[in-house]
Amino acid sequence: MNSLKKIIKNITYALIIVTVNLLSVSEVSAKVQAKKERVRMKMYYSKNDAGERLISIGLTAGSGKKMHGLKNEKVILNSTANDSTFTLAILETDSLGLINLYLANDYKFPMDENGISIIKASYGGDDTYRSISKELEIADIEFDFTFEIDDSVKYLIIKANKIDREENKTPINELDIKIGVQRLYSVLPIDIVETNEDGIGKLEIPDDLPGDAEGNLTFVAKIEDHDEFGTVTKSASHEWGTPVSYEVKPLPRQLYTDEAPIWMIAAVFITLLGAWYHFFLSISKLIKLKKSA
Amino acid sequence: MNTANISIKDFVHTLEKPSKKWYFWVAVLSIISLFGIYALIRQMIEGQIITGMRDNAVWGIYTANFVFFMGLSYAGALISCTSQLLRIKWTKPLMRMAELLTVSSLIVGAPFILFCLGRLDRIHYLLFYGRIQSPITWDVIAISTDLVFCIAFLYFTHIRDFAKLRDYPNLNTANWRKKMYKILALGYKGTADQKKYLHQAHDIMAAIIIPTAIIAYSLLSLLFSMSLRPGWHSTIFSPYFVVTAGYSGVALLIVVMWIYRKTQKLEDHITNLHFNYLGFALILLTFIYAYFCFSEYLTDWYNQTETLHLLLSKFSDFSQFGWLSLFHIVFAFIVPVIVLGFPWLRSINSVTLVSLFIVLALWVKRYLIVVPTLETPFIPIQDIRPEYVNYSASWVEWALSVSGIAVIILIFTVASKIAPIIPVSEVSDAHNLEKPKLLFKTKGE
Repeated sequence: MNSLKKIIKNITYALIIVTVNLLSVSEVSAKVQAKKERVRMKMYYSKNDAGERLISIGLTAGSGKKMHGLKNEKVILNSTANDSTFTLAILETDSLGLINLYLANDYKFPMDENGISIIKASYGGDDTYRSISKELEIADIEFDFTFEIDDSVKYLIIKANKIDREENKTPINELDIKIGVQRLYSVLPIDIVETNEDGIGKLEIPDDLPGDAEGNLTFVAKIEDHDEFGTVTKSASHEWGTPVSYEVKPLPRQLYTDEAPIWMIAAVFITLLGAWYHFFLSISKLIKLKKSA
Repeated sequence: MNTANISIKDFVHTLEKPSKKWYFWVAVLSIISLFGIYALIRQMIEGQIITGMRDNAVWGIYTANFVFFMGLSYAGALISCTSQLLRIKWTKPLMRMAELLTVSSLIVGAPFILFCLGRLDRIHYLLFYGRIQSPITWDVIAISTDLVFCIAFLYFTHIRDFAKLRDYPNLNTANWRKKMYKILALGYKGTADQKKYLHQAHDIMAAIIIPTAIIAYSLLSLLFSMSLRPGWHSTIFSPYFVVTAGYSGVALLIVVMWIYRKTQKLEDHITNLHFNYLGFALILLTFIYAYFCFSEYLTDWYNQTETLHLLLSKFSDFSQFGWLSLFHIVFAFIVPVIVLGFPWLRSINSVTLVSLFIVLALWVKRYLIVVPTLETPFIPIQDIRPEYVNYSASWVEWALSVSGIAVIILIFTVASKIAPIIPVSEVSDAHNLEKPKLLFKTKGE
């Protein structure tokens, strides 16, 4: 009986020790996990006028003034469609924690039957930073511009279509499109049009917009941060502007322009001429000295 | 000062076949100079990232060296040319040292501004696309002109000594050197006509070098004062730079005199009188320099803007430029006044030691002109990594700076092996100088 008690006692001790150890190990691992810094990931998709696509990813850690980009960290970019996933690219963040992946206009994402591509960015984390991943659902969109004059009023008609895997076009309803005119440094906004069930939006264009020397205007249609299409820009030119001649007047001769003031050129040359005249005069004396030898 | 009895014979032993010590000395200087070239090649290959210069402090000790060496050249030119024009007899033995100081510091100093360029391989663009409105273009034109003129003047003062060496019987030296003396002497025989022509050439060149050197050094100051930066934008910068140049040049000339006096045993030719006279010049320049410094800092201090206040506070902050400022004040103002002001402290050695510290203090002053201002920009700095904001010279910059000093010493070493460091002909004819050309005459002249 005593021996049985002893065995039970020993087993109890052993269980207590194992439990305490297990608890402490899990506590330590929890502490390690807790020590890891939380990471934030931002992901954007955009398509420019030439049809090139850009996927931008930003990895940051910390908060407030201590927020910083995670540099030289690997991010895996996967593309999913119809339950099949493949790796699009393995990329590394730059010194600011950013990745910019440019895709040519003829590159095709794997799409499902609805024309949806799922792009997933995954960061595996390390001893310091926690892992994180983010997904984007992307669909391809196309804008078509038509220019109409109705009763002397100019209308820009824009048609938005979604493109599926088989290149079929489906009109997009209730899409807000920003319309603007390209100026030298930025786009001058005109208005926002909403598409109807046929994917068509119509906007009246003012008569007095200044164009180039031939009256050309570049109209820009843009959607920003759309849940499905991302940021997409498309432009088209048309002769609906007021011709403006941008003749650049030649700049005056000044200290701050390309051509120096005449007085300055004259002063420099007269000074140099005087100095070098005396130099050659003294050399001529040496020549006389040599000749008289 | 023994002028009447001076003869080329007294110096021939310094010109004949060099000793092993001489070769060793030249080898050491050459190795140091070559190390500078290695550093420059590394900089050209790897770019300015291996220097301490960054986006904010775009200039550093290269620019300080540039200003410093140009200043030395100016002082040498001024001493030798005024001595020639005004027929000052006592400066005759010092003329060659002053001229060598001018030429060597011009040769070494001018490239330092080029080392600041990010793309040194595009330096020829300055010739093709240089803007005549830019102080940098003025500087390039003025310094290159000054260099040509000073080399010519240095040569003119050698012609008569070359003739003496050519005619010296049994000169124990290589044949190429004898041929060189013959060619460079231009057939000078000392006829009345030749004397006249040589003096005319001398006078013309001296007369044109003085304004050229003043213009060159004033233009150098415009590199700074034309900008609106606090600490640089000052109307007195041109004369201030000219005075500083004269001050550092005279101090270094005293050091050079002392070295030659000791190494070549020239006590008969470089005498107590020379140290005395240059000591007078030094104390005078100390006060003029102090006056300019006082004027500059007083106006800055009185009208200080926020940026200017920040800049000036760095000079009194011992974690920033406080120690350098203190070194400058002590050795450029206080010590010279004490040592040269009290008769019992004056001696050849003390004057030389003070001069050496003045030279160092004035290099520090150039550093204090360049770096603190660049570290105190008008616009707040966005990327505040310390290495971008605070300048600290790298080994490349120090290597090039030390090699620059080595090249100057090398030029002196080689030049004093080619011709006597004392212009023998000039000194021996000091009592029989050609009269200077007069601007006007009075009755009876």
